[in-house]
Amino acid sequence: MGKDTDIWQGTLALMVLKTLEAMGPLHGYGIARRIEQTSRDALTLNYGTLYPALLKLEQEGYIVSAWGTSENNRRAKYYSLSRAGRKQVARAAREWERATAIVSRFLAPEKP
Amino acid sequence: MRRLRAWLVRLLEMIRRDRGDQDLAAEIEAHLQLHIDDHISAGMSAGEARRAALLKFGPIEAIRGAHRDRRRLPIVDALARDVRFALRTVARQPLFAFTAILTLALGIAANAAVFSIVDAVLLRPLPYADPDRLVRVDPPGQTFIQLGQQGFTLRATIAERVALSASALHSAGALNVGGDPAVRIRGAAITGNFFDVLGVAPAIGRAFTQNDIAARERLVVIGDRFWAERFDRSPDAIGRSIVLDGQPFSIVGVMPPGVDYPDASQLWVPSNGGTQIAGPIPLPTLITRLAAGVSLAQARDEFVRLSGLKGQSAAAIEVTGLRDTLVAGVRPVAVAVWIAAGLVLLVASINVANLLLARVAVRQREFSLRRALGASPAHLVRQVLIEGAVLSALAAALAIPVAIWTIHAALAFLPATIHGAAGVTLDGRALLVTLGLAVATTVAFGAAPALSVRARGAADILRALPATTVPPFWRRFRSVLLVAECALAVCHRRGRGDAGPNRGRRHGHRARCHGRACDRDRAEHTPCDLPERGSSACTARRSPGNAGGDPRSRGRRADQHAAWPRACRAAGAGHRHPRRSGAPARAAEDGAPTDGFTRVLRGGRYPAPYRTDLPGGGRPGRSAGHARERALRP
Repeated sequence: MGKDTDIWQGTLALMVLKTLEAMGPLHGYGIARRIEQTSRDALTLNYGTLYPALLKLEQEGYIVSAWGTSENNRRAKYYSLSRAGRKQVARAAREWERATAIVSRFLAPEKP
Repeated sequence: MRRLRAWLVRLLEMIRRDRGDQDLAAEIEAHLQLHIDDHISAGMSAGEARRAALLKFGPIEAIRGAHRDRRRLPIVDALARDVRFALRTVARQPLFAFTAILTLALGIAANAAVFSIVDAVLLRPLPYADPDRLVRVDPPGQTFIQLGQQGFTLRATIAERVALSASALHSAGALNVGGDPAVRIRGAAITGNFFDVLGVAPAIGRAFTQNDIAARERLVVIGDRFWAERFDRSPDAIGRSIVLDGQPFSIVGVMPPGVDYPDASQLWVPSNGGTQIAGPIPLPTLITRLAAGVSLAQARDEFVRLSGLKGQSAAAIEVTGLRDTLVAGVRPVAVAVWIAAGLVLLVASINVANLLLARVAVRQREFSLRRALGASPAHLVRQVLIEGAVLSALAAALAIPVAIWTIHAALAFLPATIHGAAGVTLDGRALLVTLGLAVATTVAFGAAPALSVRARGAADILRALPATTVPPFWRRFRSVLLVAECALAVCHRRGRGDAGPNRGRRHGHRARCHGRACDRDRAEHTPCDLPERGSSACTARRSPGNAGGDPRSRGRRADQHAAWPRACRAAGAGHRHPRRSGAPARAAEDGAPTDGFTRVLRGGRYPAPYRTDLPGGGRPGRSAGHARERALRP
């Protein structure tokens, strides 16, 4: 899995941050559902794999967590963007677009 | 930057008590609950909803493991596990561990102690200003005495620079100091500029002035050690009076610590070069400070010119560095002792290496089993390194008090007037260097079995007929080590014998314990008698992999590694391993698994004696590992 995991980890982090930016504070289940929805079900991921990624983001200081209550009166841990997280979203999005632009320049001449 | 923050957070998590597992469990449960709610509102039954939620969640244990690895520092966890395992392994082999630790500790302690003493006596610079510029002039003829009394400053015309600056005289002896208790302290009578020549100023109080000397006042400057003993370092010692040789003297100053020239003096009284101290009095000694760039030869010429002597008397004038006069007598002995201690450490290291190599066969089985169960070679090597570190750490813990005790014992035998003897402390550098050597030895030779394990050969080793034990390379290497050890010990003995009263009585043909013969000089008192081939000592010399070793031989085997004469004997007994290919493996008395490592895997205690056979059948319900072992048996 090697390098694929790294790219996957990176894009997963970007997706999580973007989701939180768009939706505001959300619990892990909500983030996972939202990611699946946003990708229009092209992405199917095991929901549990989100949690180590959320922990990494929290350790790096991009998100903060707090226990709260959902709308169904269930206890859940809510994650929200920190100020550093907002800056990181913008920066990561820029880098991602730059990377895809470069790669598509390579791919474009192949098309007839 | 962010990574650093993440790393610090993980480090903090290691230190705090781990509640992360419970937090995650709660979070997972909350997640599942939310998912189940959604499913139920979509129409699934409760059981179906839960199953679907679990399925969608993914492999829970793997995720919890990944979360834990991310939360904490797995390296530290692994290291802690390895250290605990290493401690258990060491405790499993008490006799081996005891011998190895004791040997290492003695080697380290001897070396550290000797180096500390040598450093304090030989290597540490004198606590005076520019100590290399201080010289002593012998013999102090009458001209010099007069010059010394005047505290003269010489201006020589060597390149128009001041060649020699102040000189001073002193005589040394011992004084009876009255008080409670009355003691006899070494002291010196000095001319007024003595401390100026040395370049030290009193820590408190003052030194003598020309007026004091002219007025023949009864004043004394005391040393730091005396001040601590007699006055507890209180500043009001100045002005107090002590009784020296029945006469009251008034204290005017205290010297800083370390100043005790000449001859470990702690009292200095003014003199005019005469004999003002009671007791046997040598002639006054002249010391001088040379200017920068003036060599001893130039200084000597200058003094010859000053003395006005010619011919034979002139030739007798010598100028020697002050440091050389202090340590000259000690240097050869100190260097010899230092080399001897180095040899001791070398022999100790070789001993420990031998001990470790003797375990090669045992550890090979253990490592083969672990490799077969999936451990990586890197992990095994790391395990061995940690075991070596643990052994060395235990040896160091033992070595420090032994080294301190050795230093105290040695100082009790050294004459008190040896410069620097009073200030000897255990030198940190020496301890670190010798500790490093010990660690290197333990690690290098302990890693041998781990490195020589090949996964492919694991099955053969696990099947382990009694004959397949130590690989021939290590067997030969051990023989080389034994020969080297005997040779070193002989050198050691020879060296000690040559320095002692029997010098000249022993003749120096090198005796080597070699093969079966052990030619020794008759004068040596250490017999090197070899047992017959079939005797029990020879039998016990076989490597531990052989079945059929009886319980007594285990202890003897360990003893044999511990001391040179026995090692000599053992080398003579030969390193053959008589093969007993037909011998059936002996089952254990109680039918329990007798492979020591397998027993520990199941949490049992390591049994003695050790057997090489794998456990037979018997109890039902064994673990998978045991089934695998059974499959490996022929």
